[in-house]
This record gives sequence, structure tokens and C-alpha cells, in this order.
Amino acid sequence: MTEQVQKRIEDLLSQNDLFLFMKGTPDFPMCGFSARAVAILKETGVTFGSFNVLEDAEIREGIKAFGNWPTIPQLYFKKELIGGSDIMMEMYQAGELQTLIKQ
Amino acid sequence: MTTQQIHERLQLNFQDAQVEVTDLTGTSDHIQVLIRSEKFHGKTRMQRHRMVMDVFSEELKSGEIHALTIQAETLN
Repeated sequence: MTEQVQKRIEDLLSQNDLFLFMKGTPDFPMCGFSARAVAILKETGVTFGSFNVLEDAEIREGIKAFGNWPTIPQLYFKKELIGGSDIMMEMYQAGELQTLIKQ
Repeated sequence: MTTQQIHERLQLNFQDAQVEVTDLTGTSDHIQVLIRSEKFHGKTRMQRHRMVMDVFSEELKSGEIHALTIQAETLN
């Protein structure tokens, strides 16, 4: 991953504490797992930033290296990877996601 | 990658594990893994998921496995 891509990712992450790299957009998710991630975030009612990796191959691959996580979606909170849609679901069901993102 | 191959590789990497592998879509690339092993003891969710994903890093990179849904718990 080039420094330039890393810089772009960091700029994106500074737009919002809660940031979701996904396939598609919150209103038009293009993959089941991204749709699930968006649904969970909407349930929590907290605003979040998002980026459609389908529109940018450089970010799509770069974020996998950045987060050391091979799949999309990826949720970040305060620039730290929280996880993919599985972990988001587990944390949401345990109430951990809500407490975390309200800090 | 067949569920059988995935099951074998997980059993190899997690000797004590109870493993269930499901092909979610019948296309051998949307896979669900339920795995219980003492190796997950004391590990965060993130670490557990990484431990399982690392076993398939090549297939995830190549896209042979497109999506991997994981539930990783300890044995007891």
C-alpha cells in the first residue's frame, strides 16, 4: 500500500469518528454483508461516515492492508478497526457496540 | 473451495476444534464457519476472527472465498 493511499484512508477516517468502508452506499448497499453493517449502524442511531469501495479500487485494496483485514465491510471507530459485519453483529447483540460508539 | 476442504484445514490448524462449515449460497464462496476451540480462550472477537481468517488468507485474497462468516467460541 503506497503512502499516498494510506494518507487518503487517514483523511477519510478523520471525517467521522465512526466510519464504514462498504460496497455501495448506506442508501444503496451492494452486498449483503455491507447491507447488514449499515442496518446495524442505523439501529444505533449514531451518524457515521462511509465510503463506497466499489468506486475506488485503490482504496478497496488499500483498506485491506491498512486494517490487516481481508474483506469488506470494515467499521472503524476513532481510526481503529472494529471489525466486519460479523463482529459488528456480535457486539451489537451484546450491547457492546452501542456503549463503544457513544464514548 | 469445498466445505470438506475448509473443514479439514480448520481441523488441521485447530486440533481440538469442533467445526461446522456451511456453504451459504451453494457457490462454494460464501462460507459460514462455526468453530469451538480452546485456542480462542482469552482472545478478543477480533483476534478470534483473525485466527480463522489467517487460515484462508490466500483464498480470501484471491476471492476463491468471497465471504467468510465466523462464529468462534471456546470449547466449554
